[in-house]
Amino acid sequence: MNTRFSPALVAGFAAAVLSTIPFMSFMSCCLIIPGASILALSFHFKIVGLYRIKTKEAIIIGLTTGMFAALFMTAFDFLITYLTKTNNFSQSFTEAEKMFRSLLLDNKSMTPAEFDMAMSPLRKMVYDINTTGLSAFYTATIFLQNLFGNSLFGSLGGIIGASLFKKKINNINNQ
Amino acid sequence: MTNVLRGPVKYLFYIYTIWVIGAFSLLLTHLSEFSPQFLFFLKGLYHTSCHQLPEKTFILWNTPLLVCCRCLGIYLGSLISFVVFATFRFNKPSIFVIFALIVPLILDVSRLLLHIGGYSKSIGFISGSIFGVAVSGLIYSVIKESPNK
Repeated sequence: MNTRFSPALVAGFAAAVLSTIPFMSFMSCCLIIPGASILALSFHFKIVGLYRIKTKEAIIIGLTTGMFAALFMTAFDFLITYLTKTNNFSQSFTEAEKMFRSLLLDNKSMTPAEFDMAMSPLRKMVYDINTTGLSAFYTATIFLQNLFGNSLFGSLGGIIGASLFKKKINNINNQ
Repeated sequence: MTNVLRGPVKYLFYIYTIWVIGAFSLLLTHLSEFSPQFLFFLKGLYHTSCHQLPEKTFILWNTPLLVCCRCLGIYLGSLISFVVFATFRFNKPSIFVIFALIVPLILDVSRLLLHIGGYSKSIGFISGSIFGVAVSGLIYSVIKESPNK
């Protein structure tokens, strides 16, 4: 496999595993994904040796790490939801509905009847999760959310990783 | 600015800018009709990076933002400082300066973990902003020194 993709695959998988831990999950973009990009970069340097990496290359490694992490995170979320028939979304749905209600009804952008009608797909999603543990709409949405967020923070992590290895690379070049 | 923003960095910068501005997107519910599905998507999108606890989130015009005060500080601090670094072509910051900028956030988080005092939105925002400057300093130093941007 390409020397850029195999480290990204391993680091992305590790990030996805870490993000399944409840306390760690909300840190996935803040710390885990950029951390995984740095890890992928270190694996990449282990395979090909240290060299002065281009920003573009660091971004690509970070981006692919984020994308693999999104894929695995969605797969784990799908599996856990299927087995437990519950997830963060279904548990916090009542609160989310309250928030949407206050945002959309208090701002008078919707009538209560329109709001109820517009909420029905989300309510069906919660019903599907609680009864069968499967919801295609939920899985697709989670995948898109993970893909976008993780790709962005993975790319940023790639650049940060390049800066962390910079001193080591400079030392080798000076020798 | 243009000599720093080249190639993929330029696109990454634009996407990041949209991401930061997007944290304020719930304010648009005052102006136009949003479907609950879209709100669910937006909330979930930012939930991948932030706990979004209401008590730790700024509320503007009776509308909560999509990220907590600390995350908002990190986003705004990093974006604004990157624009300043790139526009005025600053020298790359030293690692000691970057470490010093990370310390306030570490102290604030440690204070909360040790239950010394309560959560303060303004302290969270300020320590996050300072941390954001450190992150953009790291990113700027790499982009500036990259052999081929």
